[in-house]
Amino acid sequence: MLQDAEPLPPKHLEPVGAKERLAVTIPERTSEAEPRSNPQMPIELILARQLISYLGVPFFLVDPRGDLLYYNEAAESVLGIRFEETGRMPMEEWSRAFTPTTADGTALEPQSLPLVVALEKGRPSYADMWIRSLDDRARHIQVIGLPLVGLAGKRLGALAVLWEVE
Amino acid sequence: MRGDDGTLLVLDAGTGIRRLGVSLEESPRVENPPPRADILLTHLHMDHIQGLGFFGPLYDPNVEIHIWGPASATRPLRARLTRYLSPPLFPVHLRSLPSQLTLHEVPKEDLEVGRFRVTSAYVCHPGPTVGFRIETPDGVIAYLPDHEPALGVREFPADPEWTSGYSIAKGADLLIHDAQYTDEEYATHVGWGHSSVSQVAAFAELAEAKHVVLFHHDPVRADEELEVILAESNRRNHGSTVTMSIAAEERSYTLEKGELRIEPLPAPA
Repeated sequence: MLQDAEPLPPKHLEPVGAKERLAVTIPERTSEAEPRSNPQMPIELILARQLISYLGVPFFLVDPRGDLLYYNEAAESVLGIRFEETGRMPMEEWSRAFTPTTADGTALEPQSLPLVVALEKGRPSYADMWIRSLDDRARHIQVIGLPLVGLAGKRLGALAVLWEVE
Repeated sequence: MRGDDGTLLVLDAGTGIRRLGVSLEESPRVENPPPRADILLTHLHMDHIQGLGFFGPLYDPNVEIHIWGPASATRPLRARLTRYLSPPLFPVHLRSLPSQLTLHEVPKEDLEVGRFRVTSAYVCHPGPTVGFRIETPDGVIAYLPDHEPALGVREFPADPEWTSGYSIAKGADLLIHDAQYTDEEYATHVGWGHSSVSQVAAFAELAEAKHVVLFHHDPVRADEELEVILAESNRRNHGSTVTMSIAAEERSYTLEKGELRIEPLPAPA
């Protein structure tokens, strides 16, 4: 019986010392929270975080600047690292930490990532890509980025589904 | 709420607003500048708007009235209020009210009137709902009459940054907060948009509020039951810096230079 061949990870995603990469890309968390002008997140982001923390589908939540706010346990499996270990990350950092590429190994620029498109264009966006998770595995994922727009039309951030292709 | 300069803020428009209107009509009128009232609607559930059409000043062309209510994604505040203030639910159409009426959507706009500065934020309750924070030179009042900050939180209270209503209540001298349930009742009403008394105590501690007025009682609750609930809460929270009292009709609170005074209830007529 013929079976679909498992897609091979792009060459450049072969293990390259993930521990070192982790040390370089993920800063140590400090107990001090970043100073913020507003001491509380908007209710829409609070509820989004609460909802995805209860879901088994991998979700990734960012603020209007694209900075990572939270990802759930299911996403921890895809990204290869617990949220408690990374904490929040600026967009410039997370968009490169997981080395997103196309199937042929072409690096995806941050501006083409579904979450960034959702934030900048205010519309849903989809991409099929490869990443190297921080447990040093090449993973084929499909990503849908969804803009989060409040009732008053305020752009609050975006949410992404990170679906791993088996 | 009355400012010492006479500024009037009305918190929601339940049935009590009719009697307020009557009392205003009986009080001496300030002619210049024209009398003004600002009505702050946290949301448009019936118990928060059903007195609106019976508020006498709405029928006085000399009165300037501003209604502040939450925006929705699809329909403006005017359209949503008109669903109630129009036939067949109410005989008078919103547009036919004689007062000088202006509607404002929150939290798009903040309000500064007299010595009050009012800000708002969406909070956890079904449908578009806001809480109001009223800052005055004498202190801060936070108004969260329908609020369920514990919804979906595994260990409440959690991080302030991830707690609904925190920015409204932070450091308030007077926090008027939803306290509809006991803990036992809350367990079977999760997601209904209200809080238990112990959740309110925890929320007030987190927000470092000074005094909490337990509000939005369950309609079937008797006064004696409320006293028992308050006593039990005080026993559990012995040593807390937050004090609590029970909201009651006719009870008034005075905030002066950061000091809160609970006025005695007027003698029954």
